[in-house]
Amino acid sequence: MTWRGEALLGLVVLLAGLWLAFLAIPQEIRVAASQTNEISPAFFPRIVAWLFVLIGGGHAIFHVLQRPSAAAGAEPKKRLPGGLHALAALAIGAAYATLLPRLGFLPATVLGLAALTFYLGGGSIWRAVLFAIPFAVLLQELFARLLGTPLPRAGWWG
Amino acid sequence: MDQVFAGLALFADWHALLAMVVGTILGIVVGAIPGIGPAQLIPISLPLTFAMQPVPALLFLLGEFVGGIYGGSITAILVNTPGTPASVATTFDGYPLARQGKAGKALKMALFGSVVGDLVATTVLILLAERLARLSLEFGPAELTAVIVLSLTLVVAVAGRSLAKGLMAATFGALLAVIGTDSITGTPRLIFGVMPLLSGIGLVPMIMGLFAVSEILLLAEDRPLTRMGAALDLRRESAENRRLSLGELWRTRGALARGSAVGVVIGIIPGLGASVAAMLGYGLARRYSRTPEAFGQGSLEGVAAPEAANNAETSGALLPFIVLGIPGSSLVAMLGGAFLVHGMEPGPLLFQAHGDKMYAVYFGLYAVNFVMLAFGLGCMGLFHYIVKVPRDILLAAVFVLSVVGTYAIEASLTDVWVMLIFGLIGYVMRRMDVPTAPLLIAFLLVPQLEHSLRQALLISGGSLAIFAERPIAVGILLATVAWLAYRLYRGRVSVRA
Repeated sequence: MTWRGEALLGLVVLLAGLWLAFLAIPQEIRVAASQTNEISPAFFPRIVAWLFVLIGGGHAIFHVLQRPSAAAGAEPKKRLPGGLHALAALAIGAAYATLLPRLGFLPATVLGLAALTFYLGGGSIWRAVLFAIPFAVLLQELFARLLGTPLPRAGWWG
Repeated sequence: MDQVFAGLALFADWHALLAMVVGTILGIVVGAIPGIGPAQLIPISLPLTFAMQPVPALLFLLGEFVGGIYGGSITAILVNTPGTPASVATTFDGYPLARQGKAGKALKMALFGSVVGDLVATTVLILLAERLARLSLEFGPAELTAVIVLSLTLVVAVAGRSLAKGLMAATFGALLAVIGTDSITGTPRLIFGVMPLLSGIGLVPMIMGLFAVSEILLLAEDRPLTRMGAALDLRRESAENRRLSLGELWRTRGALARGSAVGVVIGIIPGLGASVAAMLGYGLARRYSRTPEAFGQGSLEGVAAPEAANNAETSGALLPFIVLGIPGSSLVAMLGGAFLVHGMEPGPLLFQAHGDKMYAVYFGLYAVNFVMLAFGLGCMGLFHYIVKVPRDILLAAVFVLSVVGTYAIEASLTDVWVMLIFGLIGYVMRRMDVPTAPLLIAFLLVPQLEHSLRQALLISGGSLAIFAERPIAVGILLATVAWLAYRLYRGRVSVRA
């Protein structure tokens, strides 16, 4: 990571700590007046919040102080296309999770598996489908029959 | 003694034996596939074990755990690509041996090294665990707090390249652990009106997301994914080159002993992991070898030592976990999840509450090695097929198994979304060089840490002096500070260099 990225990471952690300490913990954890530190439910979360502040602040300051001079050369470029592939794979996974309760387990799994195999492999769609159908049936048999696990059923026409 | 026999009966049940055999074989096969390994296999297998009795479930996962580490050596030897990070050192001499047409010999050496290392570590575990557990019953809340702080510090300090990032990950894990209902006062904490969070964040969806899904996302960056490089076909080797003679095995005894010893010690220290053990084992074997010049050229000692070390580390790492409930690595933390799901809380009371099951686990840890030996020797000729599994199909299958497995826990799609969110979190963390292991280990340890800390403060009336009044706690906390100071100093020196 570049020094800017590192400093930004530190800053985000520092701000998260401050948000926790001054906003989230006072609002989201009710502490009775009689609850001293050792029995207060907010005691440990406060320690966590201040650790965030310390670590994030320290990390940001360290990387700002250690930044290379302009003469030291350009910083490495980011690998955005790789990140986009990962996000696309996650989007397929999210679409699969969305379709599960609507289409039911078997159709959604065939679609999800075929889409993911096709996207990751970049080969033929028929190869992906030929793998997806038997594997989805195998999973259904394994989970529903052998292990007795309830699988999502179709909400639209099930 | 009754518990030993009860444990033997639990172990000898056919469900337990079958689960152990299937788990071990799965572990070896998946461990041999580069890109995925026990860190992905154990999370997706966890839900499968929910329907099992505790002993078969634990033996299934322990088989995957131990077999997976050995499996990593197969591709390290056949295609110079370690199946798991723990097998990196095995490539140094394993692949040169394979290039000389001695892949069969190297695979057998790796197999025997793994078995010897694991048997030694299991014996140490059995000899020490119950005694240390009894000793640790003397620990009060102050000592327990100090031990957990030390363990977390050790894990954080060695988990990644940056101490600060390890601390960030552990603190994030601590934050996630406090979400839900406070165990002492029953007050909801940081749930932001989301009622399912009252019971806290689910361990299994988190593990699946952080380790299985994030790995798939990282590998997806390099799409289109192809098969691995061509593996060497063992069937084309001469019988002489495939054979590992007793004389050759005897000549590696020093490397095996040193590798096993290093592995056990590294395993007991939280955070260091199997890859460190393998590297140290390799280094020691080379230093004390009569033929150090052969290392890197295809030395059998160079295969034996790291394989003994990485497998000894896996069983050694179970010691602090069983005795104190402290998982020293993410893999042991995942096993911790399985222990908890089956109502077995690791720690000093484990033997009192579940002695019979623990003895069954011990029998299983020994028996796993015989399964490894039988499968390894019997199916060695088929190993090059494992390498040929298309990675796109494999990753798609792992992804769908993660989703189905997570859903199966409580028939809840919320868990699936939690898993996907943690997949994204894990991916971003790894892209930013923030290690994920401290997050998981802190998530598991922090509830115990918070409980002990608040108990200690209740006893002392809110005074931190309780930690200064207990000699063991003082010693452990001083060791923690010294270790942190050393790491900070080393960090400054390396930055200046």
